[in-house]
Amino acid sequence: MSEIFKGIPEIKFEGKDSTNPFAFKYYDAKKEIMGKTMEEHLSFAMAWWHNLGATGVDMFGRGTADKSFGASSQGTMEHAKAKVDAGFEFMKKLGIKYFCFHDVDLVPEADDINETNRRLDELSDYILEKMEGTDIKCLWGTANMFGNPRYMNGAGSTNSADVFCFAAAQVKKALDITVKLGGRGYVF
Amino acid sequence: MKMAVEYGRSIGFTGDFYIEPKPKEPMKHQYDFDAATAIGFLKQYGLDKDFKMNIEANHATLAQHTFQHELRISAINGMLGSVDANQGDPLLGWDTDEFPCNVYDATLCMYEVLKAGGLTGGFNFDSKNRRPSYTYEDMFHAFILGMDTFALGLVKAAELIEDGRIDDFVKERYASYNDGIGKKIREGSTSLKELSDYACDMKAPELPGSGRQEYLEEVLNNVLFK
Repeated sequence: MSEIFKGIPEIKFEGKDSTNPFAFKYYDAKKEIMGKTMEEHLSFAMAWWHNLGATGVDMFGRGTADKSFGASSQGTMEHAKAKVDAGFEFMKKLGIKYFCFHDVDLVPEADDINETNRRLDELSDYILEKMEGTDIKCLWGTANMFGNPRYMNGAGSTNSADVFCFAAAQVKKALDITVKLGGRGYVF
Repeated sequence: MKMAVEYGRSIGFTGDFYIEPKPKEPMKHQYDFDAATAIGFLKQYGLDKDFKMNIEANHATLAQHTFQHELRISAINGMLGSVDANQGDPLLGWDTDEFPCNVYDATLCMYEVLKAGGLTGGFNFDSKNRRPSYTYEDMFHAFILGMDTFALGLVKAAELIEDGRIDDFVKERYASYNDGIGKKIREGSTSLKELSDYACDMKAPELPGSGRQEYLEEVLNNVLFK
């Protein structure tokens, strides 16, 4: 697999006098503070949604950042896997050991929840493969129960029992994926 | 949520469930307004043993609280779990999810985290680049900024604790509860009648000790910029 963030080196600690834009000035992972290393105190995590998904789109304008990461079309499993590749290269270069996700950050949602769940199984297998041989782990997972129009009246507080069941199904699957990826927590 | 706990435990999930308090967006009113509201909700429904708080800085300020306040409320209830590390813009009234650059706030955050003995979760950068920062390089600059900000916060919070002046002040401020009637109040071994008799015997109390707000702020600056 080819490098995505070409020309950007592994980020190292250089100290407060460094002017290198690609170096830490204060974060010294192995430095001990009150009996623990900085890395142990500060379990930093990458948010899948913002870092690998957000393009800068807001209510005033279209996105400015290209987050295709080399995939030929977005909203596909090819793109979902390219995001995994980009995410792992990014975390390795920064020395970040954890990631967090919503279910729909990982894969494009299908019309049929059974197909969405199948995609989540496939993509989480791919993430597990990438985790092998690294010390990168899942910090927490969650289910996005606000973006889809079906949640316009809420998820746990919706007026529709059918929609409530879809929310429950998403929580169940997101819990499955969180456990599969060894997540420390699960967020509501 | 009860069903989620039941299912999670049945498939071997041993970690914490977290609630991330947020006062608004998308709704005007939300059940998880702030840490105090969410903790009350969890206790009401018997979920407080399985859930902790995931405190997001920008959600704290949207609720008109400081980040530190939300962390402290969670910690004193034994429910400080994880942190969403970001910051809002005080001039904008919405959840801007900016990368944290405010060392003052990060120091007070890390002070709370160190005092609480750490997190069961971690520091998730629920933060995004600004719209004009659109390159791959910007993604790295953002994380370098956030990680350096919290590293500085950690270093300075440890110095604040080692310095001891703030902790000494807090100890002295509440010293009247260490013995005598104060100790009985703490232990719950007195009554409203005994307290009333105590007050009536005194006739009028002295003013309580000074709050020393400006002195404490100077101590903080002194540690931050030494």
